[in-house]
Amino acid sequence: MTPQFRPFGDLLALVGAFLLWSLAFVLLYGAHGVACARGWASPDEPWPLRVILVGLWLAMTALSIAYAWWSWRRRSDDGVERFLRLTTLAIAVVGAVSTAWLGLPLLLLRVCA
Amino acid sequence: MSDQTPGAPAPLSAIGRHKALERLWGTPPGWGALSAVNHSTVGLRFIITSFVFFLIGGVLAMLIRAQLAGPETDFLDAAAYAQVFTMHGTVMMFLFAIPAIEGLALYMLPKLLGARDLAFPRLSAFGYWCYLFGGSILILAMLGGVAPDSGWFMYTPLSSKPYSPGINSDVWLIGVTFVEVSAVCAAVEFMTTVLKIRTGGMALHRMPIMVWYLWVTAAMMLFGFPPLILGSVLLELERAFDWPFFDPTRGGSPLLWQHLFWLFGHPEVYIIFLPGAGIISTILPVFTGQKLVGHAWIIVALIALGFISFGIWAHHMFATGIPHLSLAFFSAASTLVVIPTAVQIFAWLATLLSGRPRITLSMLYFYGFLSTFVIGGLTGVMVAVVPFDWQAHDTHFIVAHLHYVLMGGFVFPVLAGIYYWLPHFSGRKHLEGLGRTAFALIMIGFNAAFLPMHLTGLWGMPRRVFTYGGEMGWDLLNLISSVAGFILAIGFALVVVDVVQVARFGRRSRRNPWDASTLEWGMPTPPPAYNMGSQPHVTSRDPLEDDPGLPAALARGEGYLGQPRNGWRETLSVHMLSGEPDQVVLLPGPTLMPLWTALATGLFFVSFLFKLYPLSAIAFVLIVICGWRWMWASGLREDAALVDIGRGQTAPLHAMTADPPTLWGMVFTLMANGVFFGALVFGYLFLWVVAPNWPPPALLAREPVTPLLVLAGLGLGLTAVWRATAANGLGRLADSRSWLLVSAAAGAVIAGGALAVPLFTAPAPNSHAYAAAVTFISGYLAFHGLIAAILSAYAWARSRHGWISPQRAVEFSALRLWWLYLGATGLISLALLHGPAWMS
Repeated sequence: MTPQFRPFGDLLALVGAFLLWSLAFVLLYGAHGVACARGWASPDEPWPLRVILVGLWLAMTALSIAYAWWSWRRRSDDGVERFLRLTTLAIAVVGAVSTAWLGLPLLLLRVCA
Repeated sequence: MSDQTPGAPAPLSAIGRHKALERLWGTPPGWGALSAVNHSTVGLRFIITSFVFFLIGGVLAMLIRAQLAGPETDFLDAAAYAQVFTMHGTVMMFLFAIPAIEGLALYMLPKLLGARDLAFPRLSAFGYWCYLFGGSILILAMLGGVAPDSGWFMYTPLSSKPYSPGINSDVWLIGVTFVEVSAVCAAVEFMTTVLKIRTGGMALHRMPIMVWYLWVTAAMMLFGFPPLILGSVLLELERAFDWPFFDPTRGGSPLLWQHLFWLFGHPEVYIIFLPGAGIISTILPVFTGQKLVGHAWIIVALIALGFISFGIWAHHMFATGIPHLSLAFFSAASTLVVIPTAVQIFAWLATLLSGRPRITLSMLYFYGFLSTFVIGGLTGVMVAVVPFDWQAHDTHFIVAHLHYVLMGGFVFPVLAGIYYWLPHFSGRKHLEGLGRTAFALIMIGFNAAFLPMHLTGLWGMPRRVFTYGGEMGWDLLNLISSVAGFILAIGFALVVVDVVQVARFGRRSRRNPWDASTLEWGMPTPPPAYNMGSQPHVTSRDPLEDDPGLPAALARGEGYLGQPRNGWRETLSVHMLSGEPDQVVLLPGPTLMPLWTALATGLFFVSFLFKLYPLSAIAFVLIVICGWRWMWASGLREDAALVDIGRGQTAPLHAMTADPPTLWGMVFTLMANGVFFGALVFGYLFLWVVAPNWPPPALLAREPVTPLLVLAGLGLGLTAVWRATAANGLGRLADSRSWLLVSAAAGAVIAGGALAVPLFTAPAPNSHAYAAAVTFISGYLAFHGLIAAILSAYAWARSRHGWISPQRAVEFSALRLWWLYLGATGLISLALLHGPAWMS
């Protein structure tokens, strides 16, 4: 019998955490690259670039943690659904840690050197 | 409803079934072999061709080592040496590694999945011809003395016209792009096959681990290759027509090439490594008698690797002056990628420690792989750290590192796989003594050649220099590397001798000689064209362990689709997650259409290479004609009832369902296309933000006609396609056809509106990178409008012939997808094209 879950949605959910990681990567790298190329990193700026980037990073990390929490609540005990959702949960946890790791250099390095 | 009627044929004996299925699935003899579409035949062709290229690449490596054996050698001059090292890298990466993986997957995937063939057999054959022709262009150019000579990653400006005025670089750009068409075809093929073409009961968690590896690899190919195809097209346009995408004096940037190349190039390393790791994860449980430890964690690691490996492309660009913080993001991702790799290594070690390993030749290569790859991985961690990379960049340290990764992560596992599956390919045994001698020579030769090279590099020897002075102190290490390189070559020669002798003289091997539990061993060896007499119903990852009598039962036709009928090539398709059978796919038989289409594609590329542009236009028309005829031969021409699939079940034919493989083929094709477009948008924005000499001296003329034409075409086309679909669903076929004609006209309007931009309102494309980019984006949009028109016209023609019905409407599903894609990319294109002009 065909299960009652939506196949494409569940496959997307499987990689959802790393889609968030990819988005975080593109946003951080893109925003930083554009800001430095355009000279927006001056200390006189009302919103220093580092604050914006750290905010972006924390927001994406929080989103990744929320995704992991959502994956935890979706666990199932049944056959392929169990496998799929546990795997989704594991990937979500790994994804959240990866997103948190990605932005750590923001705390250590000069912004546009 | 079932097709089993009182007049249905009587069940066949196992021999009768074999003969009937062989007639259905076999490849015609003689010249008919050119029409082969069977996955085993095409897969073997891929594998054999890739190993021929491997031998060519190996000879080139020996030339390199002969040249570097001593200081100031004049065996090769600088120009010849540049061609040799460029071709060595190009051949090994593009003509050996990727196609060898494609060949292995083509051959093995259906067998692992318990299927009879892949989702799109003609696409496999087309991919093979593209590969063969594209690779041949490169080799013929080398024999003619005009091989590419700018390094396998073709950095601009060295590869640009002023510094490479001959056709050498054009050969690379055109030959490699031709080969990559085949890689994208393979990616679409594998993605769809794993998703849909499995045997009954094979839910996701029951798929063999090798299938997971190949699936992730295919996804990476789908996303990794388009940026390089885009880069190659842009560079060829710069070389052919002086469109300055990479020329900093006119708004271009050489760094754009590096970004596009490494957006492909780093995932490429994992695209090569993952199938090798898949082989390891497959053979290790067999030879240790222990289930793979951490099976689910390996799947988690694979998916993590698939993503993270895209986030580290710029770690090849640490020395280009990118801001430190940007480099740190890539450095963070580069250190992150180690973890999922390590998860696999620890899972393998745990499997090894908890089992009772048998020391077979495959296992020897496993040990070779483990030691070599770990060394390569550790030096990879070293160069992931920016300050160290600055010291080692472009030295022989990098040459040593990449060979440890690629030989360790790919060649050794592939050798393990060759010896594991050789009895499957041939039904025969290899010579153990010869094989072990070859292994010893390869291990000793490899390590003695490349271990000293770390030191050569740290002592300052740059890569790609054709000679060096005796006073540099690099001569002894280089001599050791060269002598060992030849020992390595002798080892590979012995492997070739072993494989050839197996094919010609090998002793017969029993079926499943390793007592493996996966389905590829549940068939006679060498395998018949149809794989199995009937398709199994699986209930675990180890079907042959669950039921050792399964092969005989399948041969007796006790599984699915055991009764050949109507001259159909049938294979089961399943619900993508649960593995419950949900349709029967009818596959095409032998046809020359893939060959003709590849020849037309080849004509397009070769005419472009020799600047015979009118011929290129003719070739394009020929490709469209071939594409039309290809599609025309597909699908059902009348509605069909449910058919019996065995085991007391029935299922619809694929053309009667809402999600046939064709639709998924379109989804994945559009994904690859979307990545191409995304890379184009990235390139345009990158130049705008980072490249010198912006803003451009002149923008598009500000006028409303062309954007409004495109907008009107998009709105009209999308509306028409939706109305046509609805009318078809209600059985109002004449109305549906009228709307299809409207959508075809709308596609033409979009193409016209887009083409008008470079013709009337844009600055000359050779004046500035902005103008070149605008012209390219307009061309992209026009091309997609044209294809939309052709697809709409095609659906109209099929409906007119009565080949589309309310129940049989995959043409509409595919058409809607195309138009949705066109709608999204069309709007983004309009913003990119006209936004700056209107905002200025």
